[in-house]
Order: sequence, then C-alpha cells, then structure tokens
Amino acid sequence: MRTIIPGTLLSCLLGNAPLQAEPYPDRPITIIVPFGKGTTADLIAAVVSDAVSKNIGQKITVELKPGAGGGGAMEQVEKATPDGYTLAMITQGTHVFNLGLYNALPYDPRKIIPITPIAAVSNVMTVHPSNPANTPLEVAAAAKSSSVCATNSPKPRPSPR
Amino acid sequence: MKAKLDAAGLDPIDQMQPAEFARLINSDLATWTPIIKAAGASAE
Repeated sequence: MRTIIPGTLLSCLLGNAPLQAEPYPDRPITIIVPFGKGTTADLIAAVVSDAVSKNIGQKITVELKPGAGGGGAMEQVEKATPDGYTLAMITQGTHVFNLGLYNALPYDPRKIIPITPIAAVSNVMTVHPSNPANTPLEVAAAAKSSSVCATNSPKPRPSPR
Repeated sequence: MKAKLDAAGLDPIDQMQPAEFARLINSDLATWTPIIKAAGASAE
C-alpha cells in the first residue's frame, strides 16, 4: 500500500515584530527541525537551507530537536523572538495529527505562521510477514481487537548537525 | 532545489501563499481529527 500525503512544510514565527530598520536578513537564520538526523524533514531542511543561504547570502543553521512528536521543537519555535530569524520545518504530524493524538500540546500550532509547503513524501504501511492483516482495514480491525503499538520513526537521539 | 528534492525521492510542491497554506492545514485538520478520534489512537 502506498499513501502520499503532504509532507514537510516550512513555517516561521512572525508575530507582531516591529518594523526592522535593517534589511532582512542581516544575520544568520535558524531552521528548527522537529525530528532527528536522517529523517525526511532533516533532508529537506538541508536542501532548503543550502539553496536559500546561497540566494540570500546569509548562513542558515539547521537545528535538530527530535522527541515528543515534535512538541519540544514547536514549543521552542513558539517561544522564540518573533523576528523571522527562527524558522521551522513543520509536518502534518506537528500541525494536524498531534492535535488528535495528544490530550494537550506544549505549543499552539495557530501561533506558528505557515509560509509555504515544500515537498510531499510517501508514507508506507508495513506489517511483519507473519501478521495476518494484509490491508489497512484488517490492520484497523486488529487494532480494535487488541493493543497495537505503531511507530513511524526511530526513538529520538540528540544529533546536532 | 527542486532537482535535489526530486533526486532524493521527494515530490516538490509548487510555492503556495501563506493563506492558501493555512487553509490546507485547516482542511487536513477537519479531515483527520475525526478519524484519529474515532480510531481511539493516541501518542505516548
């Protein structure tokens, strides 16, 4: 089974920052990635930061902050100074799925202003060959009849670029 | 940039205005939140 959903997106905090006297950007920019090294979001951030950095003539640092479904990273972005120097890679996970999966989030997705989507990724559902469930409906039925744990990424590890 | 994303197996998306992007997110929320709730899925 192959499902394509919009994948990684780029957002930034704008808030009510005062008009800047200096042209933007006049110093390095940070892109916070809510997942670990080698993930799709990390890959996209690397490509984007390289291309945009060359275009604007400013260094762009990618900061990986995995864990809690991206909650810690989004909390950091939300609390950052809203001056356009802190950007974030967001996903359907951080801005759609987490709202249904968690009873409470440490961030408010509505306070992180979306800029533009960048790329879509393929998500593939797999099961062990011994698992009798072969279709999404069968997986859902199995999930309702027993306790099922699903994961889509490795456990977080600190991995500064 | 698009070529690098494509080479990595990703599907680049054409630029979208922030308001349009926000509508897409809200649309996804309306689609997926009921499904997640109905499934009883949660994150640990």
